[in-house]
Amino acid sequence: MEDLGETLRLIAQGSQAAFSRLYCEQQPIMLRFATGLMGGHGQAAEDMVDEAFFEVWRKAGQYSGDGHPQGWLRRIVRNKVIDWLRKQPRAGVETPADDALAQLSDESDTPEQALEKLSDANELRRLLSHLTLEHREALWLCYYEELPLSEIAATVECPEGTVKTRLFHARRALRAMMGDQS
Amino acid sequence: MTGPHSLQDIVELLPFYAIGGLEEGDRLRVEQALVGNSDLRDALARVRRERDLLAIGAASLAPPDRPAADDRLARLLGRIDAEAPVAPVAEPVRSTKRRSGITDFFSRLGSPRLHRGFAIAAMALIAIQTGIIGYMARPAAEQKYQTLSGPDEDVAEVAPQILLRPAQATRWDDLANLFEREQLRVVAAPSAGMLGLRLKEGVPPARLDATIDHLRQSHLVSFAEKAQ
Repeated sequence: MEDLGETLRLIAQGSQAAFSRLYCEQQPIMLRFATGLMGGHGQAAEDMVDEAFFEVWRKAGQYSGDGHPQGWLRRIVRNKVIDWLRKQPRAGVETPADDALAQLSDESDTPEQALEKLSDANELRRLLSHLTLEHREALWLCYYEELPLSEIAATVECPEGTVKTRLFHARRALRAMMGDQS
Repeated sequence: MTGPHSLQDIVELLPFYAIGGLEEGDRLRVEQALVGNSDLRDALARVRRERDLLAIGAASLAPPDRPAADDRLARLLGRIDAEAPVAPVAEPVRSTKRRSGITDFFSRLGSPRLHRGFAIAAMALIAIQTGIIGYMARPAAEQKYQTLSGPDEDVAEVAPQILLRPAQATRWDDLANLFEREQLRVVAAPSAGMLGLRLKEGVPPARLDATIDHLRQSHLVSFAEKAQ
């Protein structure tokens, strides 16, 4: 089986078979990524990913071969998600982590219990939705997708130092929401 | 010694260290700092705990839904057919760039007289090339005229021999391994999540029926049939 770069080259030449292979192989990965960025919204995430793949069909010829092709795919998905987030009623009004603390943290929770809440999908969805997109993205790409620092920086198109700082603040916000100030 | 500034830097690297996502230099820097600092080791343990719990919760946020994805693929292919009956190809882009390159080249020449001279020479060169290409591409006496609707070896070469629908929740990697074992290649995804397959080059066509039987026995396949 050809690598992703080769698949994109074939798609640029009009191969629907290559496009189908790319979709079967990458759609679940991109869907997880989009869902993480969107803090859930499974149905909308699927639509965004499909829109992204449609754009891949149209723009595969623009992939220069520089950088990891999956990073190129992720950037297309990311841009679709950002467009979607901007169109939402709460667009641009991210709830600060401190405000979210009141809603999410239970006084009786020990830090351990609060952390356990992370293992619950609904709770996680709520927590993620209260982080900024940049924090959510850094957290998701590192902790869940386990991408190397350099690859995350390439995907989000910013320096590695910025990625590190975003993740640091994302973790701090998460802990704040869960009442763990340690 | 690890100063306050570099300590903060190390703390920010811990999540990436925990997933093995650091370059060699940063990894060594973190490991050296961990040796003599129990607070950092505690912080690393907390990072690992956060990561584990997030992974468990996240896995249920977007479970891959293979049948839904197949339907979506079919719809996407329908959109592609509807919006772009002629698939985008890379060649026109390259040829545009090439034309643009030639234009730029001539436009950069200083003298208009020189410009005209080069242009005439280029046109003569193109005329000669066209003649050569035309001569090489002329139809042989015995060559038959081919139409899209008539028998066409090239079309037959990529037409699927097998139509296959993957079973629910089948992973593409597993399917790809199965195709590799059975010496099959994917040539099309016609519709409704059906993949079009062909035996790889060099595999005797007599193997087709046996291959279909193998596919039907596989738990990765919900439907396999000879393509019409």
